[in-house]
Amino acid sequence: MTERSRGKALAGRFAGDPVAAVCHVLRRAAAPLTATDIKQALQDGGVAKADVDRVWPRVQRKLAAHDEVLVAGRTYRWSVVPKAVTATQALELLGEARIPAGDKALLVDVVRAALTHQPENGKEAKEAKEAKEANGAGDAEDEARRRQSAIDAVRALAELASEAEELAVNEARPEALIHRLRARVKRSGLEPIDRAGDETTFDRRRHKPIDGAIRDGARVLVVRPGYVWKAPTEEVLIAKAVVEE
Amino acid sequence: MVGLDFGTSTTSVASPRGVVPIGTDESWMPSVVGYGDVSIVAGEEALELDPSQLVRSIKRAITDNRTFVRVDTPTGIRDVRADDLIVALLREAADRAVARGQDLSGGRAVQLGCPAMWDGRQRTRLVELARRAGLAVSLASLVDEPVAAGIAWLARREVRTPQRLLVFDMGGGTLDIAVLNVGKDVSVLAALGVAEAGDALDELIAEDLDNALGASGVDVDSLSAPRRARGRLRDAAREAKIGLSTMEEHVVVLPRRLFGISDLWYTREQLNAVFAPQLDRAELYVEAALRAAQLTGHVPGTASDILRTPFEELAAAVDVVLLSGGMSQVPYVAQRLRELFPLPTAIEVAATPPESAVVLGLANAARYGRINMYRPAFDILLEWNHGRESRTVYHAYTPLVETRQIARGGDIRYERNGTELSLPPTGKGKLKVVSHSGHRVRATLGVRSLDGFPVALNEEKFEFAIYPNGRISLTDGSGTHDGHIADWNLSGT
Repeated sequence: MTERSRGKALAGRFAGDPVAAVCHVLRRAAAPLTATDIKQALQDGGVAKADVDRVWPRVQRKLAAHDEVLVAGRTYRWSVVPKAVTATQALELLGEARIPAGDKALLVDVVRAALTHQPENGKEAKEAKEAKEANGAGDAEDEARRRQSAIDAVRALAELASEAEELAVNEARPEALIHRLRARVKRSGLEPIDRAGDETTFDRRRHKPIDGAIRDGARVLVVRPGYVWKAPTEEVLIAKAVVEE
Repeated sequence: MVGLDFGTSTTSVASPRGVVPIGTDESWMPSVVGYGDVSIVAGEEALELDPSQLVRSIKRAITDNRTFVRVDTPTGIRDVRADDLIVALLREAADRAVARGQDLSGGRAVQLGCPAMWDGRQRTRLVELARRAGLAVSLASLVDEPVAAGIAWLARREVRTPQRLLVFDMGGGTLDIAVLNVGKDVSVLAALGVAEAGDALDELIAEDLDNALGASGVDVDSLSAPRRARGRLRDAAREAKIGLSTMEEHVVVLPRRLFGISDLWYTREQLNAVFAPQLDRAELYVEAALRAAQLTGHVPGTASDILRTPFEELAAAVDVVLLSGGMSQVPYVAQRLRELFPLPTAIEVAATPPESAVVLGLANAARYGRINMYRPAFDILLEWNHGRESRTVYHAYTPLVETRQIARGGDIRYERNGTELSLPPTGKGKLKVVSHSGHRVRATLGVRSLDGFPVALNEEKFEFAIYPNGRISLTDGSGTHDGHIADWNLSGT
């Protein structure tokens, strides 16, 4: 292929996708290139200088985010090495035959840093830094969760109040009203103890006298039902049913 | 590690410790975006706009490959770029996450969910938009939503032997079904998504309530305010659906002044009856997904064999059916799946609540290798003329199995020929494999690597095929070469 047709191909590629054209230039370069080098290579390939200058800011941003382009200082280099490579991954990659020379040097640096175990680059320091960051993040995260739990609890209460008011205004029959309220709290895992107005036998574990003391087994009238919360791992007695003899 | 679930109705964030609340009052932010008086607003603030100024379910613009959406802006009604709205929404979610200690801009690895049915173009579009919003993501950060739901389940237990899961994710807008093999890695054997809107159930219940009123002698059309009455019934339908998730019957309390009666009892049985046709269709999709999974799961045979396999046999291979998505809370969904699968198959929720399964899975996704055998995460290019000319022989994320292929019978494979690719009649080229996951693809043709394999160009003879079980075949000017993808392309670590 002649220089001319090669240039035509690069110019064509640039017209279709300027980033792809720059990646092509970087892939073929033996050494890291500066922005000036890249622009020159594009112009050598037949792309007008004005066109290069026009798209360069956009291309530059894309290169910075590109997975296979390494930006070091003012130079750009094509790399097949993942950006966040661990020492173990670096060793494995070094064992592969087709790693370009520039990448090899990078991988050797990663392995060397791990071996020399400098505190500022070392695993412990990194972990300590991550733990510190995670703690800060954890505080904000925990606070957000606490706030959400409080909101969810109050929301359940607000929805219950709002439903009770709607039912009252619509003159719902007592049977319908009780069914709806019980269904509402059941969604929060609450199971009722007894039913207001029912007669039952006193059980101190489930019942609370409205006044004074009642012996176990006595016949009682349920004044207000109680509730047990069936949580995923336990059952919590939220309120005993209030009864009278 | 942070998971971001950009859902059709809601957007959520999670860390490995759980969902990180980003809503003003809910743990999620509504996926609503619109034009305020001065700028684009997203989330709860957008909900306060006039309906003509806002767009709900903006994610559908990617699914439907739409560039523009119509919205009322400060300069009048016009078609605006859906991408700009999505970027605004993602940026808002990212900003809120930062305020809750979750940096999505590069400090921590971000995993982003996407529907399993999305192709390469749609995935690339989301990644580019997320980057515009300042998120540190690449194609390798994407996790198929049903895979994420599977991971949410997996993260809570120790799996000693490989398990086959069927994820049944029924949301308000779509039904996604995926068949996964889980163990050390999570492999997608098949995935399909259909626009089976769970929301349609609300309308059906409202109609049913209307009919029930008719049976009680109340004709809604003859009421003094039929429009208001129908509005009440739609609200009552939503209430009934929720109420019947925990109770066998629900009482619809009606204003006597409007309806002439004060209540109407509605049972779970009635709800199941109106929901049944939708779940009948869902069962067909479950069957299609299981048949497709047979092909990917290294089971030898042609489509005809797969078609002949009794459904009971396919269902028996599933260890666990996982329920995900808000609609999975309707008990009839679990009931129908229980009836569909044999008793040893467990029916479980992927996470509690089921609508958080995807985001919780995303936050834990980096703990598992992920392999998409259904839509491999790599391109295969054919280059010639020293790389100056090329054709894409296989586009990443193109499904290897189309449902219609199974129905047709015969050999099932993805294939491209020289005529489709407009190859030159002669010359030399070579194959190039481009991975989108950060992991090398180990694949061979004959004794050589697929990447760099020399091709004798011949427009007439060229034929390239990938079979769902990983077999590859190339016919070129020099003959036919067989090979195999040794380990399907991991899309995570």
